[in-house]
Amino acid sequence: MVSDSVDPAEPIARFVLSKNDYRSDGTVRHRLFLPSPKTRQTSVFRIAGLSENQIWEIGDNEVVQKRRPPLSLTGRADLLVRQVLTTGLHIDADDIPPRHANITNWPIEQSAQRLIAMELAGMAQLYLK
Amino acid sequence: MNIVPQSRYSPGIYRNSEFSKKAFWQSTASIGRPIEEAIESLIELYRQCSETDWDGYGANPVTKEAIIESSAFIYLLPSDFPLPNIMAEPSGEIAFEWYKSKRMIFIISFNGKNVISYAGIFGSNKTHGTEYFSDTIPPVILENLRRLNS
Repeated sequence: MVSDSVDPAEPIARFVLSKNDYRSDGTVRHRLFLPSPKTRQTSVFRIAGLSENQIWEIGDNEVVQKRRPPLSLTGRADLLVRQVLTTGLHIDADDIPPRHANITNWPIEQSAQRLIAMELAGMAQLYLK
Repeated sequence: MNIVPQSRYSPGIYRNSEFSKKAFWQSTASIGRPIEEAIESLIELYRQCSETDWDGYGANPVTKEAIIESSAFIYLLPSDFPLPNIMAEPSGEIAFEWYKSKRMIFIISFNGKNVISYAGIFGSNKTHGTEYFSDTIPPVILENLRRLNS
């Protein structure tokens, strides 16, 4: 269980499903953080207090296995909630499934979305599986 | 036969309703390997991303029009600029990325509707916007590319 209120100091993870979402120098591409065109939200998981294995389990069980056909989990990009908040975006912890949250409050204009996604990608820490 | 086009962009190919790899290859006969590879990447991208949810996060499909428009840009790009990294975005747009570092990066995208959307980070300066795109590369795009490569 995690608290309903999101702590600015807590980490969140965006799971990486494509090698094209990061570069050979270990930096993350903006594309990974762009919001879904249908919901204008970016799906993430709150990972505070979890072991590495538990984090990868969430990626496997809640992201990869729920895709049809299942995709492969390549890695994850971690951010602190505070880093998201500095861009003007919000975190909405819906806890469906447990520990799930959405990055919300994306601007409507696509070029503005892209610039924010570039900033998030620049701050993110990549972990390969 | 070695055909040297007046410009790197051959509009006839793109106005044809048939989206033909053969036509692309014929059009690049004398253009040089890097551009051929860029066009090949675009065609491959279309194959991989032309269905909904290609990214597993609900992405829109990449359209033929976006591929055609982005390939036109490749042909128009002055040869002294490096070719970009090419990718699809969740919106279904085709994005071109010029990356030097996390703080020196410029990205544009094509939606197939004659609009280029762009965003750039140049040190502590940031920019974003949209430009109409038809037969020439909008000056603001070239300015930002020069900024990145200066």
